[in-house]
Amino acid sequence: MKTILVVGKLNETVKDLNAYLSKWYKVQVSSESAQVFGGMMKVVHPDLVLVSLIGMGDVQRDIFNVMEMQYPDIPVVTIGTEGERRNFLRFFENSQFENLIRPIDNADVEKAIAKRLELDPVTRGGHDEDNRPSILVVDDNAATLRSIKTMLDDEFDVTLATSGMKAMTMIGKRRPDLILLDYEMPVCDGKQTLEMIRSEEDIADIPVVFLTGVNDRQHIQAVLALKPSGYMLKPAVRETLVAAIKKALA
Amino acid sequence: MVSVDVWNGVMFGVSCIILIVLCVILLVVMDTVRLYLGGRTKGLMLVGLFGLLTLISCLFDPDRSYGVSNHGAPGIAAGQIIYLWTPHILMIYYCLVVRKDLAVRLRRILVFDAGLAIYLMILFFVLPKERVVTELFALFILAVSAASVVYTLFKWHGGQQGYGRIYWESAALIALPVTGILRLAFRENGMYDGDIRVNTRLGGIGAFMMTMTVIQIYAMFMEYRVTVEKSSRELAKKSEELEQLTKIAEAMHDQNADEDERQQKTTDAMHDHNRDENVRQKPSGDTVYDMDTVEQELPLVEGTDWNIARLYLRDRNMLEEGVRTFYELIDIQADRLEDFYDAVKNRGDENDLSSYRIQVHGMKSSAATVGIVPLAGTAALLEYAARDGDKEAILGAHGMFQKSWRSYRDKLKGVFGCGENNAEEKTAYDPDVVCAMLMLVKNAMEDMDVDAADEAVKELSKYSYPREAEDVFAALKASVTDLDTDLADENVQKLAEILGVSL
Repeated sequence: MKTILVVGKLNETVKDLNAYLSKWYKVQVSSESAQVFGGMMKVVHPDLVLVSLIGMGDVQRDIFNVMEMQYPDIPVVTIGTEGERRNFLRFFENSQFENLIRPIDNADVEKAIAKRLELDPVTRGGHDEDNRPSILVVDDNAATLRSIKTMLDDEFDVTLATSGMKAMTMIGKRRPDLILLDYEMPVCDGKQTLEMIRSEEDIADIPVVFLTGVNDRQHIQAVLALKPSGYMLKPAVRETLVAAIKKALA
Repeated sequence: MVSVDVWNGVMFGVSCIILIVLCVILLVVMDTVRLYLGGRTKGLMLVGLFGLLTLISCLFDPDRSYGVSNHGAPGIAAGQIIYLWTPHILMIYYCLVVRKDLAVRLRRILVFDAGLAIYLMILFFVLPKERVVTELFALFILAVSAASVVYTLFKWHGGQQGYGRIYWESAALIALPVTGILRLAFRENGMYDGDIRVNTRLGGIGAFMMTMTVIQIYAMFMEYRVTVEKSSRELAKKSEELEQLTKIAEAMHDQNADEDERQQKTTDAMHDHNRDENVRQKPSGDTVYDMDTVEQELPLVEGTDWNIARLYLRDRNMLEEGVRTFYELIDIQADRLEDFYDAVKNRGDENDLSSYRIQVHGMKSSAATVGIVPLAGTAALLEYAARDGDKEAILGAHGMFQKSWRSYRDKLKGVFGCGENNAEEKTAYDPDVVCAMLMLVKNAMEDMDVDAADEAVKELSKYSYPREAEDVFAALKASVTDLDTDLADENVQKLAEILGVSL
C-alpha cells in the first residue's frame, strides 16, 4: 500500500480528504511546522506528499525547499487556489510539483494521486478498498476495548471510542456498519448513547449490540427495552461475539 | 442527697445503654460469621447468639437479680424491662429488617422466642437467688454458646464429606458476586444447577468478609476439579449456546408478535440463556485433580487461571497482549478508583457511588478477561456494594482490594514481558523524528488508531530522554495504553515543550 503524507492545517477539508484517501492508501497527516514535516519525512517515508495550501505562507516555504533539495524523487501534489499557488510559483516550474485547483472533489484528488504514482485507476496497485464490515466498539474500559479489538481485527475493521460522546464523534467521521456498545459507562451511558444514535436520522438504523457485565433480569429488561440488535455478556468470548455481530449484520 | 433507689436506677440505665451497644456489635459480628456457615447451622447459631446476649445481660446486671427481683423502684423496673427485652427486640429487628427472607425470619423469631421462654422459666421457677449459683448459670450459657460456635466451625472444616457439602453451600453464596467469571469456573468444574443458590444481597461488613471467602472458595474448587472430557463439555456447551441464541434471535426477530409479549419472551430467553450456562450434569463422583487443560508452558501466577483467560483470549498472542495491557493499566485503574473512593468517602452521594461502581465494574471485567478470578470476585463485591449504596462495605473492602489489585504489578512482572525494559540500547533522540512521532501519537489518538499510537510510542521508547522528560514519557505511554485521548494530547504537548520541539 502506498503511503501519502498529507501536510496542512488540520481542518475539516483535510480530515475529509484523509478519510477518503485512507480507503486505498496509508495516509499520515503532518502539521505545516517544518520540524514536524522534516521528522515525518524521516519516519513515514511517503511515496507522495500532498500539501493543502490553505493558510500557507512564506514560513512554509521551507517545506518546499526540503522536498526539492532532499527528496527530489518524491512527487508533491498541492491543493490550492491560483492565488495560493502563486506564493510558491518557483517550485511549480519543477515537474516534481503539481497543483490541483481548489475547489476540487476528493475523488479527483485521488485520481491525480493515482496518476502521479502511476497506479492502475481500478486496483490502485493491487490494494482494493477495505470491504470488511466496520465495527465501532464503545466502552470506557481500555483493557476491554483492546481485547475486543484483538478478537475482531481479523474479520472486521474495528474502531474504538471510550465514551458515548466520543462514539458520536467517531460515527460522524465514519459511519460504522455496527456498534458494540457498553451499557455501563460514566457520564453518558449506553442508554443515552443509543438514544443519541436513534435521534439522528442518518445513523438511526445502525445496528447496535449491547455489551454488559451485569446479567440480572432487571438489567436485561432495561437493556432490551431499548430494542438493540443484540445483547452480549462481558467478558465476551470471541466466537460468540463474532457470531452475534454477523447475525446482527445479516 | 441522692437516694439509693435513684442511684441504682441511674446505674441500671447506664448498663442498659452499654448492653444495647454490645448487642448491636455482637449482632454485626455474628452476622459476619454466619456468612461463613451453611444454612442448616443457622438455627444452632441463633441459640448460641441468644446465649451470648444473655451472658452480656448477666454481666451488666448491677444487682445480680437477673431480671427476677423487683425492688419496687420505677426506674429499676423500667430498666429491668429494657435490659430483659433488648436482645429480643434487636433480634426481631434483625430478622425483620436486615434479613428479609420471610420463611427464614419467621423461623428465627420462633427459635429465639422458644429460647427466651426457656430462659424465663429457668429464672422464675428453678434458679435460687444465691450469687454463686447464678454465676454458674452464666457460665453454663457461655459454654452452650461456645459449644455451638465450635460445633458449627467443626462442621465446616470437618472431613472430606463435610468439606464438600459446605464447599458447595459456600460457593453458592458467592455465585452472584463473581457472576460471569465464576459461572464459567463452575461450568468448567461440572457444578450442577441444584448446588447454586444465588444470594443477591450481600452487604455490610459481610461483604468484606466474603471477599476473603471468594479467594478461599476459589482455591477449593481448584482442588475439586472433576475429570470430565473437556471436548465433550465444549460440544455440549456449544450446542446449548446455539440453542439459546436461536431462541433469542427468534424472539428478537419475531416482528409479528405483540410488542409486550415479544419483550417478555426475549427477556425470558436471555434469562434462560444466562441461567442455563450454569446448568450441567452432576459430577460422576470422581474428583481426580485434572490439570490436562492447563498449558504447562504458561507461567504460574498466584490467583490467575489461564484456562479462564483462554476462554476469552483464545490464542497465545491475544492472551499475551491482554495480560500486557492489563499490567500497564494496573496503576492507572487503581489510581482512578482511588479518586472515586475519596469522593465516596468524603461525600458519598449517588453520583460518587455510581462513578465508583462503573470504575470497579470495568476493573472486574479486566481481571476476569485475564483469568484473575479473586480480583474479579472482589471487584464484583465492591460493585454490588456501590450499587446498593452500601458505603460501609466499600470503606471496609476497598483498601484490601486496591492492595490486592496493585500486587499484580509484582506478580505479573516478567510474565509475557510485562514490566521489562527493552534490552535494546537507547539512542539519543533526534528532535525532528521525536517531533514527528509525537505528532503521530497525537493524530493516532485523535482517530483512536490504537495500532498506530502503540507503534509510535514503541518507537519513541527507543530513545533516551532527559530525566524530566522520562516521567512525562512514562505518563504518555500510560495514557496511550489507557486510550485516554485528552491526557495523551496533554502529555504530547508537555513532552514537546520539555524537548524543545514544536508541533
